Amino acid sequence: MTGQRPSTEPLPGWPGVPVPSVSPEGVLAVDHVARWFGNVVAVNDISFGLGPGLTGLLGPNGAGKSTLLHLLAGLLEPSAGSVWIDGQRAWGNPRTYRRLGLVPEREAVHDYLTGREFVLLNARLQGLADIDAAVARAIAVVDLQGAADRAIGTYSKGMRQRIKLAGALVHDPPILLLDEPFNGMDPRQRLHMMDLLRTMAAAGRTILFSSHILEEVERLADSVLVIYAGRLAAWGDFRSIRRLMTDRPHTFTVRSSDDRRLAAALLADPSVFGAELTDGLLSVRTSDFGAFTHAVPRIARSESISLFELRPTDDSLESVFSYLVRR
Amino acid sequence: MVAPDMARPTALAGRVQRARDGTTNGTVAGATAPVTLAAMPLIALDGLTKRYPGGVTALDGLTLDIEPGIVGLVGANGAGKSTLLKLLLGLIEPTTGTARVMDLDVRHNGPAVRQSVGYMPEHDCLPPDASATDFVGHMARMSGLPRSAARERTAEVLRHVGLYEERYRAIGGYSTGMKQRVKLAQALVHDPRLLLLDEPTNGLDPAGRDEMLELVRRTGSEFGIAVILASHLLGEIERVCDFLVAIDAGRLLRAAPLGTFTEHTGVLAVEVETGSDALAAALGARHLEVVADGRWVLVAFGGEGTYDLIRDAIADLGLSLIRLELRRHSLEDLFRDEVPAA
Amino acid sequence: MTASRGATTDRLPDAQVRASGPGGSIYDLGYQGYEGPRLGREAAIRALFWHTVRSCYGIGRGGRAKIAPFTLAALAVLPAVVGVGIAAVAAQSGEVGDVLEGNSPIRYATYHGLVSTLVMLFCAAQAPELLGRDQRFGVLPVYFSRALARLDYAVAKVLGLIVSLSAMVVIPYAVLFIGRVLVAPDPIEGLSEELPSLPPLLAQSLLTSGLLGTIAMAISAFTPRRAYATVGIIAAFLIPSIVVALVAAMLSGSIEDWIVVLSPIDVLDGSNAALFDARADSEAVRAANLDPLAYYGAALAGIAVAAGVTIRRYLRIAA
Repeated sequence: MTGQRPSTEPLPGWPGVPVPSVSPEGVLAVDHVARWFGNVVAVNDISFGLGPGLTGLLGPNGAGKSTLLHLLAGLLEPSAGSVWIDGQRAWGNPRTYRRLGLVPEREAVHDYLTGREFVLLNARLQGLADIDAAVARAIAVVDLQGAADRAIGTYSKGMRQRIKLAGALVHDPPILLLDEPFNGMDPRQRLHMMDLLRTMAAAGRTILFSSHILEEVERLADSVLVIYAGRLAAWGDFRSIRRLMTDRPHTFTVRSSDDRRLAAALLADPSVFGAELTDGLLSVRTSDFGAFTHAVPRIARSESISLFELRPTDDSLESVFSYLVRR
Repeated sequence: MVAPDMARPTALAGRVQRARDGTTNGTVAGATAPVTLAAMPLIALDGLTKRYPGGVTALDGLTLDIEPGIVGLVGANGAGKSTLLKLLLGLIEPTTGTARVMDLDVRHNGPAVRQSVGYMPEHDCLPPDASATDFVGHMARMSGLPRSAARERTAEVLRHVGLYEERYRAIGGYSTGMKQRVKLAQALVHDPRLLLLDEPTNGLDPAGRDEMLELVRRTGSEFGIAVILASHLLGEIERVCDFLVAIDAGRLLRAAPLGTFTEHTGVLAVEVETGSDALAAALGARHLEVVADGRWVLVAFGGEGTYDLIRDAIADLGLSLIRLELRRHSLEDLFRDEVPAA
Repeated sequence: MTASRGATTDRLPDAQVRASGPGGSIYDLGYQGYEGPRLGREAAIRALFWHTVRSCYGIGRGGRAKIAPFTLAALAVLPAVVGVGIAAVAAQSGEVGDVLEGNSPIRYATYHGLVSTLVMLFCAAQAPELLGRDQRFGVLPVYFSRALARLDYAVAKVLGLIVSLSAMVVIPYAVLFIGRVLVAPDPIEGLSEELPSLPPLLAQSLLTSGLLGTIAMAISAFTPRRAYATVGIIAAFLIPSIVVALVAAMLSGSIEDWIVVLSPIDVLDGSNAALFDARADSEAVRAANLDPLAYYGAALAGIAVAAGVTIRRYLRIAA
């Protein structure tokens, strides 16, 4: 995956904003953006950069994800700070809408339009040159050729999501913002959508998608942005985030040919501070991830104990997320 | 068909036993396991078909038996799962075929069936200006509970689903999580023997999903109520259910215990912090079948000795071992195969 | 049990006990099944019926929901109370006979004209709420997935509105009735004089609440939107009466006379006139001069058709 993790090198002219060090096509920079509605602060001083690849946007309900996506799309004016798209301000800039496609979760589509008409509408609004080809291509990408001439009112929820995506893709934007793109899709459609997003990201598109289904985000996204109460709680590859949580010890479960002897041997190692045998499973607690993972195979070998299974118990996006938002 | 899980507490077995009559019926269609001479299954479908006007075939000749437990229901390419739930409730009529729930024909004994079945719909179904207590209590009366029993059951059930002081406020002000709990409460208030849940985690954030799935699991195991959980999310089903029914374009794709879908694949997955290529090479040199897949090194299991070969190779190379486990199949594999879309 | 001081379990109801010893007990607060009576469809219908009646008057739904129904009901009763009051005062000063029959602004026969408008407004205000909310918020699947059948739902709701309307119509009549009895020089004789009015009073109440109520429900059953239903209901009452008035003004002849039965307002006007042997308010009804049975028949037929439409709608509505 090509450098999607926001680097910490600020680009000239954008003070303090970490921006990925790849080509400036499809690059978002968010600079101390805030948005309030009266007394309600929906987004509070958020800064990050985004480049090609797949990034997941996570957060509890009400954390500000939808507001953030609308700010990024240039549809909401920031109350403070600014959003930059390829070096230009997002808000109030018609060129923004050419550079990105937004698929919001809630906004309804006119039920009486057919799928094709809806995509056509978007194409016309974008002022495209070769409209029919673009429409056909977008519909083919989301695999709705069969249903394109039916009214959207007859579509299932998953199909609506896909036609909205086609509408957002018709002008071939380098940046895609998707709010819960898998909502309502059955398992096969989810797999197809995941493949589609992976392909588009590999081709160099910048894709930000929000989702509550963390097992899917874990497999799909190269990095994540975690929003909590309007603030950015963390960004990056979730494994790296987990390593950064040094105040939370890591727990591993182990199955071996001699758990008890292994436990004793591991406790002798300075990286381990706890070992527990329950229900035929050995749990080991360590505060030094690196040292422990390095020591385990060596200790097992020197004790002539076979290792059958080793698993970190909280090395998943779900665990990382819950640690971040449940302080 | 599969016998009820022996680990299930007697509460459920006892309750279902009371619901059944004593006849034995060994007829099972579409089963891959030996026939058990048990009493009538909880749900028996025979050639169940539903065609909507306009040509959509939601269910096509579905024939299967479902035993009590926590059953996952997955549908692909069509409206199958929601249609099946509505048919079981008698909310819609089948085009052909029969459905029997607790040995009652749904078409002819609808009210009796619905007396013992609770339904949590997928869509919004709550009036915003009533309180949870009012709404659930009213629905308890609609299920035939006398007034005082309705009041008591409402209070108890709201406690079990985790609604406390907020139960006296209007539902319009509730968060998504609270609304889902109210939906679950109205499905439980009349003490059903079977609970039909349609996407219960819809709209919930990760914490809310966890809590709801935990509640579903408790309902199935502690409360002793048979559960059918319809969901698009295979991860949920793997987490909570012990049996799976998969429908594809209206036809039965598979119906089997969850364990049969998540068996070991005979592949060991090794995750090291760095140096996966070097590890793959080293293991290949030791005549193991190895594939490097991103961060993972996948090793074909070649006997007990494989474990030590891996351990030693890692130790020799001075690498850090993060994870070592036998890969299992997942439910996704069922849907990965290319089946023509409806 | 009696060995411990302080709390004892002697008089507590038997709950599930998880653990118990000489020093105390722990009760099981886990999920309990329900082994009590399940009363079936009839109880559910009755509960929904009373729920509907309470909804009509906004009981249990906060103050704002009560304003319209109680105002209308109060306006319906007010003239009766005032009339009786005037009659009482006049009786004190000795002009009993004239007051009762001549100068009193309130007589049974004329009361219908006052009340029917209020009843129409009540229908237009409340019927959409009774049926529209459940449609709008998707509550119907929750109802129909219970022992309550679709038919039961429709019947309970319609009856609930009709009974609520009846209350609004009957109470003023009752006030008049009792008032006239009490104000009469000899209450006992007054009672026997008034009693023959009882059947017509009841009949007109039922026809009014039945016809207007079922029509309002039939219209509300087809749309979840309150505004559409309210306008539809008012239109369903007013437009036929306007058409009938126009036709009566322009044409005459026995066929055209029968057109009167198509307008609920005129039908009720006709039945009122027939029952109380009085002059109809509507020109068209006066001109048509139909047999009273035509009005009774039209009212009953209208009730049957409107109720049937409502029930059929709920038997087929998607849930």
